[in-house]
Amino acid sequence: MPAQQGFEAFYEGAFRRLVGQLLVVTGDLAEAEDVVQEAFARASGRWASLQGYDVPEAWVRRVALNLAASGLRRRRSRLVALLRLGPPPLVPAVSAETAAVAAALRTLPVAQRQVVVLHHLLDLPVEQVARELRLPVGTVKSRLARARRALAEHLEEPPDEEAVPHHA
Amino acid sequence: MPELREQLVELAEAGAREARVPGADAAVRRGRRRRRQLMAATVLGVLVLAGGVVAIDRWAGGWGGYGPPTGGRPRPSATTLQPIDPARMFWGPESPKPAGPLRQMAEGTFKGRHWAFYLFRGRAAPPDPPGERWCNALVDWRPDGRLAGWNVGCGLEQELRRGRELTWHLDEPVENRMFVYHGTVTRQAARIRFQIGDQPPFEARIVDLGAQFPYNWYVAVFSPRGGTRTMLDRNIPKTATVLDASGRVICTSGSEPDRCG
Repeated sequence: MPAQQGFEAFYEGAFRRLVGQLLVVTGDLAEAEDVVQEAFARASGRWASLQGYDVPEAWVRRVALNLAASGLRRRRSRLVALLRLGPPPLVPAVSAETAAVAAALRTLPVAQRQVVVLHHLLDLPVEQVARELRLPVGTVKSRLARARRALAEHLEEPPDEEAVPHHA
Repeated sequence: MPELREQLVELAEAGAREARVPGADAAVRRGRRRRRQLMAATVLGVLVLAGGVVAIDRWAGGWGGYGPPTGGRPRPSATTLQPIDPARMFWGPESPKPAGPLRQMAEGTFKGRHWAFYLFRGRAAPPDPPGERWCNALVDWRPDGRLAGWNVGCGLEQELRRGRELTWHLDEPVENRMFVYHGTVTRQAARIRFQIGDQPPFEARIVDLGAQFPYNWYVAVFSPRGGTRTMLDRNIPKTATVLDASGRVICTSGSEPDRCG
């Protein structure tokens, strides 16, 4: 069936890329795989119309970003005030600097992670980020500014004690 | 932030590289399963709703055969309305019992349903202090004329003692998308304008209660965008403005001193 083949090709071409992007938002590879698979599951039911889109991948990404946001919110409310005993998030092997960035990203609200992915990873201009997330441009700008500030604070190296001038 | 971008790219590429790919077939199957679940939930919801409507129909339909609503103007439709019986309608230990006839203040139709507003002297039920007081009742009928439900309130005199130019209540008839603002208003009022959020303003109908009352009554029937009680309860600004015959503002809700609402 040609339509089915078209969906398979789209899936094969975009799945891994989207998992990589969603990993930045979720901070957990298994969670990223799950939300992307769910977004593709939803896309499969409307592939007839989606295949006519200029960039069907953008639709799947938006659904996955929304699912990631709601999943994180749900988990946070469930786990609030509870000691987390489960396994640590599954993160692929990366350099120490990138692991530090991944850890810093996990401290940001999910809404800020979404704009970071779209703007800093995918290089989308602010206006397009706003369109993709259906947000006002000002909201995107302020989320980006807050995210950058928070990341800078988290990634700032502790000052070298010997380099600190001593005053008598 | 070029370094940030490089590290994000590294993280995303590592994620893409190590991702397990369940396959397009698995996504299609998951989509089908999800759609089946959604459909089952929808069917279940419709069945529950239909069951509820049937139950309410039976409950409301049980009060029949006690004389039609009295007074007021002729109804715009020829539908025969199920008669009401105040003595049996306002049941329950905490409901006020009518101590006199119901005076019909206003009636109308909205989205094919008939409604009427009544004023009556009610005998208080515990825990309210004993004695008679003025009560109001909003009654509504379904499009086929069967009685749908009623809302009763008796807090009128208590509110009037607070010296308001306008008292403001919201009623929501059962199983309807219609909402009603009603209450007392100063006899100097010629118009009352309501505004909910950014929706177009709408005006109330003022009912002259006659010289025996120190105030008049108003009724405003409306259907807000969204049409739910939740929508009205959200933090959406709602204002009421009372104007006299010359168009001068008597009071606006939320203003200081708050004499309006």
